[in-house]
Amino acid sequence: MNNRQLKFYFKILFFTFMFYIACGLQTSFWPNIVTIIPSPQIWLIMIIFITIKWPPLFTIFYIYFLGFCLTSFADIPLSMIWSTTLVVFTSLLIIKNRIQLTGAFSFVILVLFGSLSFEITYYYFSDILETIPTSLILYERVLQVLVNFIFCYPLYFVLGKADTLIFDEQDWARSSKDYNIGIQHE
Amino acid sequence: MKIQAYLLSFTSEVELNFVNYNLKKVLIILVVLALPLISINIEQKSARGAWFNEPFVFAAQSVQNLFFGLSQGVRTTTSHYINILNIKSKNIQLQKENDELKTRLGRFTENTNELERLRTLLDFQKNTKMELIPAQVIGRNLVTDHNTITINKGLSHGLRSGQAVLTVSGAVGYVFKPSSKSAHVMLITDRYSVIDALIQKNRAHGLIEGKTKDTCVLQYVEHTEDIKDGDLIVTGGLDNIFPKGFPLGVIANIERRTNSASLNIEVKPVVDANKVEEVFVVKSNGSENFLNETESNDKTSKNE
Repeated sequence: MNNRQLKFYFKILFFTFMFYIACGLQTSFWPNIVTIIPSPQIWLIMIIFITIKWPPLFTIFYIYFLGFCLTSFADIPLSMIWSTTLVVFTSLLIIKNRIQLTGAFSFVILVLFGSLSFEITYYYFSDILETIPTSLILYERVLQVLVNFIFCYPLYFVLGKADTLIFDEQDWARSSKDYNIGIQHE
Repeated sequence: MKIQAYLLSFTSEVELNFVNYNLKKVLIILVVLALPLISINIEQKSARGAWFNEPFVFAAQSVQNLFFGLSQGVRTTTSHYINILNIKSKNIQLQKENDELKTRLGRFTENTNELERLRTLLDFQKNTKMELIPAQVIGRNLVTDHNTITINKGLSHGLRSGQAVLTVSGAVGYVFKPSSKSAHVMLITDRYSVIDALIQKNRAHGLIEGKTKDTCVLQYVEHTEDIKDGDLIVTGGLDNIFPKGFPLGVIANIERRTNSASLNIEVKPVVDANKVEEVFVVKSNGSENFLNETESNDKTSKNE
């Protein structure tokens, strides 16, 4: 195993650790401090970030793994989280490859789109996959999307720094032109 | 080498009549799409998660415990900081003594309130036949579609799936996914929650089903029952989870449909699960019956 491969695996481990921290922050820290507004779904923002930045083939399986980790924090069925994240992933890939955008502002727009598609997909998939479907709860869903939208701007810089800190190989503007599915790391 | 060459042969374009496609890409796409479909079929609601879940659950509960402790520290520090800001505007010497005394008094009042609260919890635990395990709430919902909380007690503390979770004021939910050191509690407002209930006033039975974050629905109550807004709903005790007669909620709205034999009753839970911090898990209910107690409490409050 060479140095590059080690760095790559360490990066994956680091992002998994960050994912756990994000989920813990949402479930155990934020509700005890701020009770007025819901916590931003940092885990979803992370998934959107890696969908945009990382190679698609590896990313989708990594997102499945993160979805599996998510079930430890809450009673979300695995089928629901995998189905909805697959739809979010696919829709973001389509948009990313159609719009040649870079920068934090574009990331904010994509997070808004990703959060919206997650909420809409979750509602409709719940009707199909679950025995007791979820309610519309429009106000909570819109508020959640808005909170994600507000908090994703500073998170872009944090995640960007974390992405390049250990293993910097892809630029997401260039990767949007890269249609190869295989892993690019050597 | 031969195997590699064999596999590589699939990466090249394969001619199939008039269609050219990359088999490797198709296989990968099929695998990506198949995993969610497989997860739908293999999912089973078991009382305890599979063995391969344990390390992930342990990591999750460790993170939740860490953040819970951190949030408690932040809240304490914030309240002290706000007190200090108020102190700065007054006379230094006398106000310093005065504020020091006020701070002590504030801490004393806080401790007294905390003591009173804990005494109430302890009295409740002592004066009941139920065997109770106290627990703290360390985590809340991750998505708005599920109403669950996480408590810091698990299988190693004697918890089992299906045990009732309640506070001094009323029922909260029941344990549904315990792990070794923590457990998920399904609140009565969760859409998958179904609890046997009865209307305290006339003993009419029904089922409480969760609806939204703040409301439940009481189903299968006959059209002819004499009930009104504000009536207390208590546990029926038939599901063998909750003790009989424990407060569940209060009727908020009654819908009388002409084409239905039962009423559609909206119930507001007596316990706001979003604010609860300490709960009790009922290890054994000891055939406790709160029905007469809740009636006498109502009569006492009416006489006053």
